[in-house]
Amino acid sequence: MNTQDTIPMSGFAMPQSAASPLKPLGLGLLVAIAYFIGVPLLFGGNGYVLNVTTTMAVVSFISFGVWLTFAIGRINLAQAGFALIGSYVTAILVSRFGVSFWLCLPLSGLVAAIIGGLIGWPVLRLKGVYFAMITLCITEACRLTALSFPAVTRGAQGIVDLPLPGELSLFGLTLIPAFEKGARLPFFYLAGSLLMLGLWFMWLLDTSRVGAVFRSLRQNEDLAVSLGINIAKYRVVAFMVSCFYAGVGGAFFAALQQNVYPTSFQVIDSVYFMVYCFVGGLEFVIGPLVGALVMMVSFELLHELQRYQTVIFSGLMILCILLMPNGILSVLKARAARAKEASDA
Amino acid sequence: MLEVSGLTKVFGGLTAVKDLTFTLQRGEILSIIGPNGAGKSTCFKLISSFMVPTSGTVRFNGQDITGIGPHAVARKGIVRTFQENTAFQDMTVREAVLLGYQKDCKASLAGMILRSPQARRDDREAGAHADRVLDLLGMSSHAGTLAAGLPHGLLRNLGIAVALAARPQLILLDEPFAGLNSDETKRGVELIRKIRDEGITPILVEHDMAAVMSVSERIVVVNFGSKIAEGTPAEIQRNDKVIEAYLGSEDEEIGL
Repeated sequence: MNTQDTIPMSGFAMPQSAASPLKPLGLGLLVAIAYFIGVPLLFGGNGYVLNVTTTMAVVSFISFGVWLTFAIGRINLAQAGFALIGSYVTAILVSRFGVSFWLCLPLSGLVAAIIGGLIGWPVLRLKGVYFAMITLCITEACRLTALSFPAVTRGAQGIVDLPLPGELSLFGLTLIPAFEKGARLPFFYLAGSLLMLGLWFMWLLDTSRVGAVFRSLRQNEDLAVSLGINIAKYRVVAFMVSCFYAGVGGAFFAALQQNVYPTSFQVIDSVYFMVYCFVGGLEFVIGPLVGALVMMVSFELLHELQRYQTVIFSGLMILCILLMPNGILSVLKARAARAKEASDA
Repeated sequence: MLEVSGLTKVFGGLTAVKDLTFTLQRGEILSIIGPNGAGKSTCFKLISSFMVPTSGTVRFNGQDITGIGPHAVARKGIVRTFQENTAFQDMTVREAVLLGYQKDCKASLAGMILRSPQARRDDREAGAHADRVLDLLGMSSHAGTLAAGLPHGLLRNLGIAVALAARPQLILLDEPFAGLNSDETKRGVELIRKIRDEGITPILVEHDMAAVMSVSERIVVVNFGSKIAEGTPAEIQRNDKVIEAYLGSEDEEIGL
């Protein structure tokens, strides 16, 4: 299933894919090779780099959800709230009921998606800054809920000392061995697998008919509804998928850090998930990954500057938004378009 | 085919549409005209369920469709176009027209995402249908153009194309000739006849009198939300109430 341009029936290719040098399949392979082979080969012994890459992968995974809500024209600041829900679902099931982490991972996403659907149904009627404000409140409400029910969540003390993921076996066949204490590679590979799966599904969604419907919602809801498209349903679907990503990502971080606190995911995280999408470029499925990569790597590189780190980082971000308002990838796309024009001429 | 009876819409203290009643036969070209602010567009919004009427009913093919919601009305077979140049700005002409077919797709949500055989069949049918619609409107050569890059007249055609792609039985055209030059209007009139010959019944809300008189078979005249006249173009042109509504008020303003 190579790219759209070989299949005449797919009028639903993203407009940029025709002109873009970023061919989906090749790009996906490149990301996979860089992650699964490149990083371990170059930095295999460096726990710090592995940690940063692991975090980056799952943070991008969570940001894909935010990207999808951008696709339907909504600024979503609830993502950290749903990630927190995912974290708590896993933490409670693992610590209290001894449920396998491998079951908790999709289950957390599912719970987050269902809660997201229930909240999203009324809330998604709002647009623009109103939707952004209410989703920001949702993130805060999730933190306060976690604080307020110590019987379930242990309140501010958090749920600590979670066991590491056990082995995953099917019919006595071990698919994934139990994670060992202090080993970083298992989490690194799990994060990479999540990232690739998340990216693949987003791409599939975006290039499908459903993706076209999502874009039509962003561009003109009235026109879409006049064509018989049930916009309320599609909005909720997009939001639920987004929440699923948040829930799964939250579950991963609960297992990685072996603890969950009400402060594990806060409003500032929601803002970061959104900024990754902006920096990478909202037009591109892979935007959140590029945004997270660039921002997290540059933040870590500025580590040398100690207390000036945040100041310089903020300055760079402002420059980034000023010079590339449509994200880093849009600059690459424009350059490719110019090069094509030049070669055509 | 369409029966509107006693339709009334009140906004606060303002009655935008008052006790409006008319019926429409299949295959007939009906226009609703009236001075600015007469309630024509509100009437469209009530029929297409973008607004819920204060009282009155809209029946379509014998079914009560009053206030069932815009996407449900579209699924029953009534599709409206919009004033101005409403379009999906960042989509190509063909992509937008393909979306018109969305409501007729049979594949499930998961099927569409994972490209089930049914979804592929839907895509093929949608593609064939889109090409037919574009051909009908003479827009095939613009299939790959972004809506944002189309000139005014073609943008208006795109709006009609997208609505036709939704395979309506009844199409509500909201000011299809506004802002078009006389040449484009002439083509628009032909287009509306062509749409009717395809078996789709058009209703127009329009200001361009010359065009309305030449294309309509029956005209409903609305003033201050109420129907003041109904008849063939020739009858309407002779109707005293209509002349007063259009000219009488103007005379006073000018002071003649």
